[in-house]
Amino acid sequence: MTSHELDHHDHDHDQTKPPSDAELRVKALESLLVERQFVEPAALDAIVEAYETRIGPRNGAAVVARAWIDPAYKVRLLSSVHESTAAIRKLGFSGTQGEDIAVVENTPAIHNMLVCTLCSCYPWPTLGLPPLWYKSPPYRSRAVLDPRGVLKELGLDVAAEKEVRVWDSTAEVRYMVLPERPVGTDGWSESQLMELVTRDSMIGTGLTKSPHTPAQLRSAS
Amino acid sequence: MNGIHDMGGMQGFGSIQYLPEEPVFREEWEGRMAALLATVTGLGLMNIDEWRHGQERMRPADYLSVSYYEHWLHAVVDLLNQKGIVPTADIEARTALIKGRSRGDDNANKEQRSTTALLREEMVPGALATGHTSRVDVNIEPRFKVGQRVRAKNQQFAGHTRLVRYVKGKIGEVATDFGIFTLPDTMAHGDIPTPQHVYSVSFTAEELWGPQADPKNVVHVGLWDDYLDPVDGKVP
Repeated sequence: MTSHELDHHDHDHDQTKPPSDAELRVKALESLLVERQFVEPAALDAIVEAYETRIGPRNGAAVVARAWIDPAYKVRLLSSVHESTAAIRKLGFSGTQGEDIAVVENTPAIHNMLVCTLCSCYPWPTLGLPPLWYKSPPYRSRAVLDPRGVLKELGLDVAAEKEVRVWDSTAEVRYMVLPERPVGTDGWSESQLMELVTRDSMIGTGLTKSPHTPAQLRSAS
Repeated sequence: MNGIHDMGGMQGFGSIQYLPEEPVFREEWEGRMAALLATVTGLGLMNIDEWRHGQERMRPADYLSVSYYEHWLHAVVDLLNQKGIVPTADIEARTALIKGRSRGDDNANKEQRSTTALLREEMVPGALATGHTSRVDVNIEPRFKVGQRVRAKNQQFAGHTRLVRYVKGKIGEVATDFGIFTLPDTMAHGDIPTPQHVYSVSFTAEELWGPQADPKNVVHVGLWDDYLDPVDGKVP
């Protein structure tokens, strides 16, 4: 979130580096909570493993691909927050920081994008934990003030005639964007479509992948 | 509170440091911190609103200069101390002890399992898949209807609130009624639910930022009944 944080990225697992104060304090906190029988280390391992391996944007991509091929599912996803949350749960994704998930649809007339100006709220069950830039002051401060400028900075030029609709996650409802299905994907299978869905396309700060890349042509043929 | 965390509309933070790819946790301790937060909130040692407010109470200069998961650490340590669950003096003493050991010794002979721990490995998948809803299953009439024009209150509560600064005094339209939820303002201060309706309220960019704003931009903000006043007289 700070540039210093990004600069130090390369040294993550450098075992010769003395542990930081934060690292030592987290170890102390864990040690005390374990000792006092609040939690066993194996439970902490299981939580870390869940976020590192299972709870991520592949889940959201599955939801998007299903909505692209199944019109009834898409209707359900866009009808109410109760229905969308249930439809997402049906694919196996639910829980922490996604107890309620509303899906907002990109159309030729509307481009949606997500932010949490107050902290870092983000739909964990479908997108995983948020990336650093999403939690950073530059994005949080400007996404609501100058969304088109932010999108342009991130490489996305939204046509002037389109409405840009920003969703500030101040309440306990999380949002995810349903991007438009890429043209040229008629007849594609759900799993092929899933490969086109990027994390950023579900935040609204990026596009889906093009169906015309060589890898996709190979798998689609 | 009008704190440093309430960033919507601020300027001067520079360009977005975008990375196309990044590990979920950049350092091992970040993952442990995330798991410890899931533990203390999952066990009800603190609620999510208390925890958010714990971060907001950081000194602004610290809030801006430390890394993301250090906000979490700060809030959890502070609240465990405040609630008398783990005194900060114990954290300091244990930190000093660990610092004195050589790296690699920390986990020596540590038992991975405990039959008496409150949160155990087999409970994790269920707990994560369920989460902890802030919805309240009571019947309360909404104060506002979808389509109604509302004004966000211009009030300066010094405690925790989700009424973002940039909408105060501004007029928007109720776009969706999300249902009934606890109120963060009272949950963060005494665990008091104050259940009420929460709406998605849409504000035009011109209303929020002035006549030079792009008329095609709209911001949707989640707002509680208590944050809103009716706007008298409909515009044609």
